[in-house]
Amino acid sequence: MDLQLTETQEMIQETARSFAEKELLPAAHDTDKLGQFPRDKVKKLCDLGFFGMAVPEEFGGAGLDNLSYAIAMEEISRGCASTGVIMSVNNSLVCDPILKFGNTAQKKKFLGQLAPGKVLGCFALSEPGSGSDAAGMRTTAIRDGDHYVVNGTKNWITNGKEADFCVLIVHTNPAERHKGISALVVDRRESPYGIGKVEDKLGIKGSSTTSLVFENCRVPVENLLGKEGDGFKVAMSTLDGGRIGIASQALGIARAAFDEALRYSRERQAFGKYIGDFGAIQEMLADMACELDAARLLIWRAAVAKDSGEKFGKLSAMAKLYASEASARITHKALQIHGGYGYVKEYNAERHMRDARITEIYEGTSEIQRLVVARETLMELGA
Amino acid sequence: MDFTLSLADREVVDLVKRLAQTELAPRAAAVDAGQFPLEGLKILAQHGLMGIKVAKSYGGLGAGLVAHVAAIRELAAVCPSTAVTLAVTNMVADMIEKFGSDAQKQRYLPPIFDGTYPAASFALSETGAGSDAASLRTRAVKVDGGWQITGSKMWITSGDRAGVVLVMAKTDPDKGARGITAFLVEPGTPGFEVGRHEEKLGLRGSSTVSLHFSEMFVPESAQLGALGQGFEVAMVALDGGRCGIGAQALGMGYAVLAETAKALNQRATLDKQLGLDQNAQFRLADMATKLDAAWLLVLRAAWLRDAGKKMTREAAMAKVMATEAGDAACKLALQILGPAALDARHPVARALRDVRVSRIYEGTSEIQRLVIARSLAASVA
Repeated sequence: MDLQLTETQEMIQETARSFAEKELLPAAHDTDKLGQFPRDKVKKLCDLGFFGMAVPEEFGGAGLDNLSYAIAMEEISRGCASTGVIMSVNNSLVCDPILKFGNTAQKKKFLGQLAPGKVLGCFALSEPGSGSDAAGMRTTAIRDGDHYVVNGTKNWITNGKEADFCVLIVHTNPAERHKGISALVVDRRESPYGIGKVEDKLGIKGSSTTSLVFENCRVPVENLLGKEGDGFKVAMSTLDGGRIGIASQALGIARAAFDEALRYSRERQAFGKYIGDFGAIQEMLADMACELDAARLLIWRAAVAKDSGEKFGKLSAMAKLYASEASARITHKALQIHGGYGYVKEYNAERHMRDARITEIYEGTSEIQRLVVARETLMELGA
Repeated sequence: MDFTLSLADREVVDLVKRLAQTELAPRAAAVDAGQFPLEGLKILAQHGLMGIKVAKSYGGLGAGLVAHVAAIRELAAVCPSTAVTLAVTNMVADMIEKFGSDAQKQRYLPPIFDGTYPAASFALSETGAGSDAASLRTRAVKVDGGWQITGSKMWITSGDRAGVVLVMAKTDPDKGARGITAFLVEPGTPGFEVGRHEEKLGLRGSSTVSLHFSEMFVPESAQLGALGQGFEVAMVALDGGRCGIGAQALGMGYAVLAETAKALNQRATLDKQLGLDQNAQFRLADMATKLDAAWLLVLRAAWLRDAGKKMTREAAMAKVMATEAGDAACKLALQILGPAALDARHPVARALRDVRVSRIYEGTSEIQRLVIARSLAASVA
């Protein structure tokens, strides 16, 4: 039992925290209001190595562990939730599967560009008619010589507008369900595909969410990750890791909301005393603080398990389930503590609440996390 | 960062698990029916488990709070009444090691550790002072050669069974919390009287009594720690104790989680159709997640204590989250299992009764939240 961060992990935390406070917190309000992709912030974070954190240095990454990544995600998302998800997708959903399932040539070619942030990546699994039920997808990639010909539409793609690379999950053998699914890396510059509708969202408005339209899009066969039929495994394993990132994002948003609510409770007076000295507000703040710490420990435990090469699917599902729902509760209470000020856009409380909401949905809804946790728990204890 | 127990801690946990299965499990039903777990406690004592954190040179196991909470969790999964009696005894032994004189250590630690004393007690609460420890009314008046203690203590775990009772009394009523001093009192002392035995909802095998002291003389050598240090003694004891109570609630929570998982798997086999019970499965996932979240908070607080760091806020967080998660798990399990678990002797029904007090004793949930909120406010100012 040792919960001490290493010097490197502390340094990452400090770097991320100071970047968030100097660069992100002051800009987050406008990023949300204008719905503007935070291009210069993303550039600076890429220069810090934050877009390929767990990728080894030989492939252009920062060569850090997943715990460092989780710590950085919390701090960056505390500064700006939109920037957080943009960073999370590139790390967890794009670099991670290429690192885990790619061959050396693919790692050199793709990670060499993605990990240092020369280009941005996105991950395409969901479709208009399939989300949680991933195997129900309809996009196909049919072999034609040394290319796959891709047809179909992907939905809810974070970074869809800005990304040059797409980790794309498709049916290469539509006759089979799970077993006919494969993963391709698509370089949009050499295999052009269309950007469909850009979604107008409740929160994380600085990140783009689009559909991707593939019409006879030709992708070289050498861009296949693993073998044909590995795609479902690639997708599920990628999401296991991605959940650590999203849980950290949820935690960061919740911390931003909590920090402001706590400060406000020591400034605002009612009936002759600080509102933070009333039992009702104290109870809310205490519960928020407990849930923040509990969420962080669940996240760190999952990240450490991933770093040690242990099974971590249940742990990351628990972390994401707990952190995202805690974030919803915490941001809700933070708005309540601010009273009327919490409801207007001049303050940040309403943005935090809007930003937190998606974390209960993407990269596996809370319902999917519960299925994962229940299944694993029944296997462990139910015998 | 490492979330696994050390080898030494694991040895303690394995020992406790084994003893819980062989020694406590066969007696747990009788204990629940109201029998004080005398035999079980003696066996646990003889394995060093009344001084888990006390140095080996004094006869303890020399482990830390992490091992302690892990041990309590295992005991509580099998027999919560035994677990709480052991936890309080450990707490008193810890305070004697930490604040006691050599003479006090030599006098009290051996009989606690060899099982001569069935238990030790911690007497802080009063009718008018539970969570608000500073407003005690039990007085210790200086007399020739010692102190004369007068007052009543309420809800004292093992108060009638203890070989030694750690009593908190006001030595200087004008000084509030700083006017409290700790004393080690032996039950045979003239003026020491055991009052009412509480008939409790749960933990029915543990004994809970009131204690009355009327002009009870104790020698100067009975004073534990410095004059006026009693509140500090109590707070140090409670910071550690709160982790233990959290672990206890989680022991019960994890036990009912396992019961529920077994029942659901059987149902699934009968139905041949997984997913029929999706609502129950989702509740199972919630139980597992919240228990783990709380367990990590307990481990963190214990680890901080072992690392020599201040952990008052973290201990309060651990206690409130763990006891509420344990309590919630028992309620959910009962709902999932339905009528079968309504039998008062069913493990889930017993856990539901036993777990409830953990949200109350050693500082109610409300007090834990207040401790946390005050600490948060101080961090802003």
